[in-house]
Amino acid sequence: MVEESFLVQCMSKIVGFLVPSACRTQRIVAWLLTLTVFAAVFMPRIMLGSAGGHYSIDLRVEDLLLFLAFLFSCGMDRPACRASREALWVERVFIGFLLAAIVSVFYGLYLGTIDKPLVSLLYVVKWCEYLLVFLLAARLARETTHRRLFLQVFGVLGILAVIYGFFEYFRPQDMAVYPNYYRLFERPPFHGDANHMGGLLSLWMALLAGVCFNTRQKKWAVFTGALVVAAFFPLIWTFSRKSYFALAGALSLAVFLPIKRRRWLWLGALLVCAGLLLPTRLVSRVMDLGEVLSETDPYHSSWAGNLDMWRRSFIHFDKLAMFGAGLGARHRLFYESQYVLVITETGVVGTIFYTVLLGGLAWLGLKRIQRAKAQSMNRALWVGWLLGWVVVMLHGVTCVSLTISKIAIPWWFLTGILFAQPEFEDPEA
Amino acid sequence: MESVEPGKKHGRKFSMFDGLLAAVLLLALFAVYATFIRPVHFSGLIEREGVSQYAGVDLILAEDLAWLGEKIKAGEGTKNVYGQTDWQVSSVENTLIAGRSVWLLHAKLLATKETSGLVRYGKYTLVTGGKLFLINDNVFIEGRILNYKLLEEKISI
Repeated sequence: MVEESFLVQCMSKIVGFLVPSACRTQRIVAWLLTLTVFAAVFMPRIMLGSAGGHYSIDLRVEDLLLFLAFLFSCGMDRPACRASREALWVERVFIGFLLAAIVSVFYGLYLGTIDKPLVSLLYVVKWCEYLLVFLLAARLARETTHRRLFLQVFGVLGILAVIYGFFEYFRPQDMAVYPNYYRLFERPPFHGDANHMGGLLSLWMALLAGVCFNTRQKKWAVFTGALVVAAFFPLIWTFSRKSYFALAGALSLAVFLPIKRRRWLWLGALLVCAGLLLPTRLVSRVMDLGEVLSETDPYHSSWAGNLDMWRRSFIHFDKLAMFGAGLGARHRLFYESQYVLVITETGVVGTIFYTVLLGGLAWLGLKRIQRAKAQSMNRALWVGWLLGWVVVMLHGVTCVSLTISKIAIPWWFLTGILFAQPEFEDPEA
Repeated sequence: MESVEPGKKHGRKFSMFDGLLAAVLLLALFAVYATFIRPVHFSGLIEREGVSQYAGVDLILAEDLAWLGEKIKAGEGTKNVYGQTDWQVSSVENTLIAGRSVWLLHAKLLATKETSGLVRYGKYTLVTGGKLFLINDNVFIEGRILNYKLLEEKISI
């Protein structure tokens, strides 16, 4: 589909003139994509100013890197980089969702629910970047070298986050007077990202746990299991309850997948013991939940606050049901829920595309698990990916997870890597 | 679902991807038009987030904390995790109000002006007589609002 694009074909001539070797172009794009993923997670944002004196406009390094990657990708060797049937299907539904989002913005402008159209444009462009990450990963990872590189990149990404987590825990940048929690990843180079990095760590741990539960190679099982345990501590210190529950939900559902249940039990027991027996304040953070859920004051309980905001999001929704209020009609912090954001901003049409996109991904993932060879690394990765999908879905209940580049870019990158492989091709075969 | 067959010759034709790029371009043009040439006005059909804005507050220190008045220094305050000033004391003075000697504290707060017109600092609505707490790692200040005003400085979120 992208290969047939008029614009891409025109651009390919220019890129071909600048970089005559298509193979070299692929390498450049692969490295740009790699840098994009690291930049999305670790590079601080660059404040450009504000729109309407209210919304800050940030330039992020990954925006520039992805733009360059897109330009160079036009010169890639197209037959060698053809996407799998499933990846093409995902792209088509993703584009459908983006078109629905664009229609929602026009509709919002018509109804006057949007008065900062440049902000909405930037939201749309950000979602286009996520499509681009998937699109490029799904093409480049067809080659074994790129596939291996990208999987290593995803692994190193999590390891670096874990190392930084330990570093910040032992060298905090600020004081937090008891009973307040010092949350990791809130301060520079991060920007109030405890929940977002918590989500990313949960996604990363879910993938590794899937590999640990499924691989027949014991050294891989031990290595990935150890990494999950190591990542558990920075995850605790984010004090992000939504990330805890997303991971707990994913690991609990893993028991229904074809895994080695003894390993599941071992890892689960290790995590529970580490969380409960060591002085991590995990218990007090989780036990706070009772008070949060039973409290009805929206200014005192984040849960009551969320319910109040969600209620307010649906005011007059009957008048906007078809296309919603328009993507970017409110600040994303208003919602604290990916689902409420999609439903209220893109309406029924956008929600259908969004549901088909994410539901379809899970369905295709399940099919891949069924068809992959038992205990192969391929199946292990698919099990891990599916657990990651559960993490993203659960995390999205109380966070705009797939709008946040620190979660969305690694997520679409990982998804692209796995969907690059054609349905009946086993990389280990 | 369709696959791009190897060796298949692809002609120049508009794909869904071109459609997306065209739609984004159209949106960009319209966004510029609707921002700078003919701005769109908010209809009020939806509720949305408040506008962050600094407010200057005159706070009467609670009676049982009157001893704190001499200890609080101008500049005392805290920043949020984004590096913005959350609250900061500008000055503290001992003055007579309604014939009583009170400690009056002047502070700048990062408040939010709701679409309803209410101004809040966190969960506390800024209103004369309203209770307010200012807390940092050194001090816990409690007081009643004498008056407040919104400052010009808006804060981006």
